[in-house]
Amino acid sequence: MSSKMATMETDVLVVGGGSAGIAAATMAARNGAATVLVDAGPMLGGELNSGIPVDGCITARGDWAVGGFARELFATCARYDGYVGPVCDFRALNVVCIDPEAAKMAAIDLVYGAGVKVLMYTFADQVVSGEGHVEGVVVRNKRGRTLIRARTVIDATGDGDIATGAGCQMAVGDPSSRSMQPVSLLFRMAGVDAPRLLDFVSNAPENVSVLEYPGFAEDRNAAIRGLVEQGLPKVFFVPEGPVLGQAIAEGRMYPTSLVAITPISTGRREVSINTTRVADVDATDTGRLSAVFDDLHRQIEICSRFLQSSVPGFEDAVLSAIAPRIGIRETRRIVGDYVLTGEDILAGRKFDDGVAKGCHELDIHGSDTGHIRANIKDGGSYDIPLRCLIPKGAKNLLVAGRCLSADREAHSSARVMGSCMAMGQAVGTAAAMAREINDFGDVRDVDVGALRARLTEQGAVLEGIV
Amino acid sequence: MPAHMSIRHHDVVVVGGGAAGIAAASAAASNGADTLLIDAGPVLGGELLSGIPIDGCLNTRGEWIVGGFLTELLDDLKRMGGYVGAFFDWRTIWVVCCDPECMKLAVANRLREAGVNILLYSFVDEVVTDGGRVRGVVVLNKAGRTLITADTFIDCSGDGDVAVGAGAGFVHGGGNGVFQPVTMVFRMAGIDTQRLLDFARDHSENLALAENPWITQSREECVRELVAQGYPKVFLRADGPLLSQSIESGELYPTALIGVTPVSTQRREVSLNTTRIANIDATDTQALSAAMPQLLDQVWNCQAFMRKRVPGFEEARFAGLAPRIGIRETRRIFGEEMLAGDDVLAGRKREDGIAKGGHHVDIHGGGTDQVRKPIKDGGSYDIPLSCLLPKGLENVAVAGRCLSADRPAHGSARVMGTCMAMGQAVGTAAALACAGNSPDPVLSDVPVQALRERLVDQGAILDGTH
Repeated sequence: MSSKMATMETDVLVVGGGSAGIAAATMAARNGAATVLVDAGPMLGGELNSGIPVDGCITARGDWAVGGFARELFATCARYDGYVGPVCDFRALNVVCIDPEAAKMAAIDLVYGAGVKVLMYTFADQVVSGEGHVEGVVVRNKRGRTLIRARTVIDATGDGDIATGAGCQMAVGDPSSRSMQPVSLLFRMAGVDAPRLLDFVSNAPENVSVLEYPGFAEDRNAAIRGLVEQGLPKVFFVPEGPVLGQAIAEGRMYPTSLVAITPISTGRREVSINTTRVADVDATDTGRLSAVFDDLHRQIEICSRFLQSSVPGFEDAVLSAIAPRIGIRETRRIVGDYVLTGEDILAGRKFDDGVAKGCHELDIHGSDTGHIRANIKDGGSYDIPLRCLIPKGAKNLLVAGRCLSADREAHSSARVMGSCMAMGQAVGTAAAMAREINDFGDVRDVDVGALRARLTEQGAVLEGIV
Repeated sequence: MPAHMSIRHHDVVVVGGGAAGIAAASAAASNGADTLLIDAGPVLGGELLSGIPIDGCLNTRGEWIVGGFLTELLDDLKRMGGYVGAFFDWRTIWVVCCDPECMKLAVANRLREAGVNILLYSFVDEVVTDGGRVRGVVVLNKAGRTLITADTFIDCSGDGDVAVGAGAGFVHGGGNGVFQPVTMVFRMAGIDTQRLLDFARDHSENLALAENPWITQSREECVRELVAQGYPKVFLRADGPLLSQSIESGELYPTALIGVTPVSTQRREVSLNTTRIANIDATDTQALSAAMPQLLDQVWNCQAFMRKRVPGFEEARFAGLAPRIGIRETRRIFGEEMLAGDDVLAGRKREDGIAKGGHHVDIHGGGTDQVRKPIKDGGSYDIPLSCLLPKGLENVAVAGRCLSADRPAHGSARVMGTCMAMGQAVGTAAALACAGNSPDPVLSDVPVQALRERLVDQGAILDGTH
């Protein structure tokens, strides 16, 4: 007996409902395209639901480098009492802190509100393509199989699954060793005494990293003062400091390059903690990714005990949540019409066909305590050209998110959620415009000037900042 | 070009990592079987992670009727600070209240101790059958397709996906598109328990109390006992003045209940079971996906209502959504035998019982509708193995809400305490079957008395209670 396959037709199909995918789907729909968003999981928002702060929205100098969808998401989080706002880490970044639970609400609001047809719990199974044209994607869920035919497809899977399935050329992790940045499972603790934590930072500043970007303060002392006066639990513990260093040496903590604490709710006195890690896991190898589930949970137990016993302000704090899924920093990248380079990002290079901006530091986590970090010139931003979001040889396929076309260094900056949302907005809008212009032929036929004008009209930040 | 498919073999494969599946996998592995647990999602624990209390662990009299795996899980939670306690709702049931976030650690710990192999993010695509045997399942994930063969399969998918895929007969909900509602459970933190309990005492007309004839106390005595318990376990009824007026005025959506349950004493946090959309076929992925915005509207509506109208919630804050939509009812398979509502209501005991249920017959309908019928004498009933063996399949067992039962019996047996008991029973049965000499073990050949002895040895409660 052969099994039946249903079909569905749409203008734009977005695969992956993380920060890039929800931005892409929302903006495609708002710009008039019939849009379907498919995600394998039970919720939309991806890493926005993890508790990690949204990096890459504000330059180190303090300029917003991302607007449009991202700002709207933040405003929606605020409506759900879940917006802490921009916070400076006095180290290298201005981050935007949100309550990940409000982010779940906000993602649903924006995506469904734009009229996107959503299929959750749905796996992308096969890509139907030929000669650079993606005809559609066969998806599988409890209902069976459906061929979703689309005129433009956006790959927001993070892993470039659709591009891979369409036979596009891909790059992986470190080109020589094929090693990949560690995977992490974020967790949260509530009932943190922020003033006590900041007193401790003030009295023992050798434990935390500040002033990697020199523009934040005159000197280390002033940076620590700034951090403390900010009044929020945004603290980056490093293994070179005695508290974390000794704990690692004594086996009370696993080796890690950071215990990064971020406020996610002032009302609940709750923070997220970015610290757990297992390196060199190929997250597209599901068996391997599943096998580290246990290690990561064990690290959470260890780290929450470490914080309670060794870090003032956490004495009465309790575990309050574990992220909905393992966070993945790095897997495949497409090889696009242009490959964004580490030099481009460190120089803060601008492009005439820039459709999104990045401003996160170069940020390559290694195994254990290894971690490479470097600042963007003048604490500014760089442009991401549309060419980085079109796989070489593909006609109606766009990508957004961490599978963009970049070398490993540039990827380590552009992979963060602020940039992902900006890329998502850009390709969602481009996909919708493709219909107006050439009835969904080659996305390269979209006039980049007109796309940039549309993006700017809809709140994107493309010009006017360093 | 033919696509590649890899292959792996295990003694026992469990599909679905909810309450039933983790118990089944853990029991199978603990009893010596090489066991693989597969789930389509990124995390294990299913509804245990939702915040809803664990029903069906004690009968109305307060006797524990589920032990074994459940006891070990709760012991882990106690050690980790995630166990709140077992409480009587003074309406009709005892519930076990836990922190759903700590639960993630406890579940990981249980599976580690038992030595279960896990495969997350993996969708069961096809079931490979050979007459009345299932030879394998083909799973789909980012790494491609894998044929996973096993000697026995345990279907804990909730929806009977494996059994139905292998040709088992089934009934779907109440027939004619009638299904118990789906629910998004959510949490609120920072509640004032004393104020809530004062309100409960002074306005007990809003509470559901003394619904079970086994309770001989007056409503007034029940309220006193409930308040004396000292925990925010309160069941606001639809026909009390507060809810009925609020539903009437449109301030609150029509619902049968707002079930408030403590999840963390330290965070002063409760879960709320109240949102609902009836008659959604949760195996229709598109319909289920489309339910999301309405459920989240209800979540936000309810949290505002609680803050405004319910003393003790004035300062409380929204603290999180369950990881996924909760599903009460989809398919029930046709087993060797079908558990009947009369068996449940009569508290029928059986010599071949391998798990116990004690939850009342509890069939939620649309809006304010809910059928609730108590079990005789506040006791429990036995579930025989034959209700967990799909008719016509030799090496497949089910555990969880897809058991073989009529609709009223299912309305009781679907809860998590019972699911874990069923899971432990079939996991153990599968290990015993694989330990025999047959290359093709048949689950119904497992001697029931030997199975019962093994279960009792390992802490299961099969006898000695009402």
